[in-house]
Amino acid sequence: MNRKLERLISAYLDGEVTAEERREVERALERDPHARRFYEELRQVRALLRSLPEREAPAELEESVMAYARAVGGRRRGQSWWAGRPALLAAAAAAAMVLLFPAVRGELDRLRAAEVGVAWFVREHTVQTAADPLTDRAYLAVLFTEANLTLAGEQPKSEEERR
Amino acid sequence: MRRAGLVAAMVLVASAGASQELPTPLAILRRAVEAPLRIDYEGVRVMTAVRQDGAETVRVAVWHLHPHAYRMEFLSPLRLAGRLVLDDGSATWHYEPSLHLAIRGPSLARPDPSQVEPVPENYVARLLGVDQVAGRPAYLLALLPKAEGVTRRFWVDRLTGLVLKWEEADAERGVYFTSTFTRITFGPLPPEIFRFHRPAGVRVVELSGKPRALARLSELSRAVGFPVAAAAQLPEGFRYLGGGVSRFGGLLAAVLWYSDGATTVSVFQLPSSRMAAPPGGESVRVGSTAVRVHTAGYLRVAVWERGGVRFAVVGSVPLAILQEFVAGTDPDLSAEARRVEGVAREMGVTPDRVADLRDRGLSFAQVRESLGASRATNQTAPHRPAAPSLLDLVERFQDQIQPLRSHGPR
Repeated sequence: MNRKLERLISAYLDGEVTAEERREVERALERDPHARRFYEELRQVRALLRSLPEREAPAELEESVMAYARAVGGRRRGQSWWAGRPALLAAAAAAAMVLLFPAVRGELDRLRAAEVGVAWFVREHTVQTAADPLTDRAYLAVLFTEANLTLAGEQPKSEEERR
Repeated sequence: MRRAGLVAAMVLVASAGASQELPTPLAILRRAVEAPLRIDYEGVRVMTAVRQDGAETVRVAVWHLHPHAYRMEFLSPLRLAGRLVLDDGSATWHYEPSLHLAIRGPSLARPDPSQVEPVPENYVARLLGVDQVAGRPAYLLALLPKAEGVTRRFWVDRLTGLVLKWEEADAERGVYFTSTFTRITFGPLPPEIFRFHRPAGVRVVELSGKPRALARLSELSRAVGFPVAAAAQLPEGFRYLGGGVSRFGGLLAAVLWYSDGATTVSVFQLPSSRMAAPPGGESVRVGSTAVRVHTAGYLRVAVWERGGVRFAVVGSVPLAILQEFVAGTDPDLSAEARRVEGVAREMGVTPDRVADLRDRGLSFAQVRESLGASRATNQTAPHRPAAPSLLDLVERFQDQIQPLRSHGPR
């Protein structure tokens, strides 16, 4: 399967293909088992990533990982350190998958970029529109600050929360 | 009631006109554009704008110190109340007390009066009469687009030239934005109130400054590492202002700016391998291209993918104008080369000459117009001064905006 088809399948999942491209993807999915597998994997990765809540790792986790790393550094070779720690092994495997498997990592970055894409475009547009003398600066400030908050990873409190 | 007042005011203008010369609409507009650069004021503004789920009214207290300093304190609705924006003309501080967060970014307070130069070409300016806003007499000025676009009305203070009230409308949405001073006073203000004093314990976030400006598309392509597509066709009246490199974290996009003198449209381009389709938005088809249209306040953002490039066009314009940008932007390099060859043959010039004009952001129609004007100039008497061609105007425009674009934090 070539890169063009991979890109088309990705666009197909985004709903961004022309009628002709859609037919091309659907023909490939019928005939090509590699294309089917790629489609299925990409679909599952997306579904999984979209369903995951985004949370920052707690500070204690970082500390405990560093403590483990120091402990590992102090051990002799050949000792089966992982054997008694299945949960950590699973977490490390997941982390390795994300860090080392470029397709997954790339797709994760791509989806994250999509989440902030509209706010990024709006903010950059308002900065440019500020040169336009016939634009209301106070309303530009509303658009700009709303986009700022999304890009800073924040959302203003809702009316209910503030009451 | 308001209409009756307006009619009365127009009668007043008509009777006053006999004894007192009224300024021309363009003279009023020029004065309005320059007013914030020379006067100080403080007041309360009420803005109403369409949103995806209806309309929202925002109240904000505004202080302005000429030429470029602003302080804005948002009063309502509740979700915005307490938000503070301080702009000293070189940077903006956005303080969000409910989140204990301050965000520093580029200034929004540097209007460029030269940007309205194409207005007489693309709009009809009319003086509709005299009205009252916040207890002050104001000229009521209308800018009517010659092609499809945004109709604007401005209530311009007779004494100071400041715009006291705005109104924007298009054929699709009707009046989609109004902004009016409910109270205003003029006079000097203490510079101290325009400085940000960071409250203790507030987290500060720096968000990127203005995009790095590069006028030529070839320079822009080198800077972003992929070929940037120039719009092959543009909505009537729009011209290429320039381009820039926009960054957010590890993301890098090329952005091209277009304007008809009163409305700015931004076109973003980045590899679609770096950004999936943003979630949400309404689905629209432009030819065979699937487009998602998102809204942010009165702005519309159309996002699509073509040839491995993620495109987005942003502006407060009718959907038809966004669709023209979508239809006119094609990243296919071989199609571009074929069209360049075709126009070169048609106009009797080398393909390099056409490619050079395309590199300056001209659409194919503008390339033809520019080459036609050059040919006509060459055929006229050599001593007669030629009218500036479209290319001259574009170059002059780009020269004027370049220093302003370069200003501000990177």
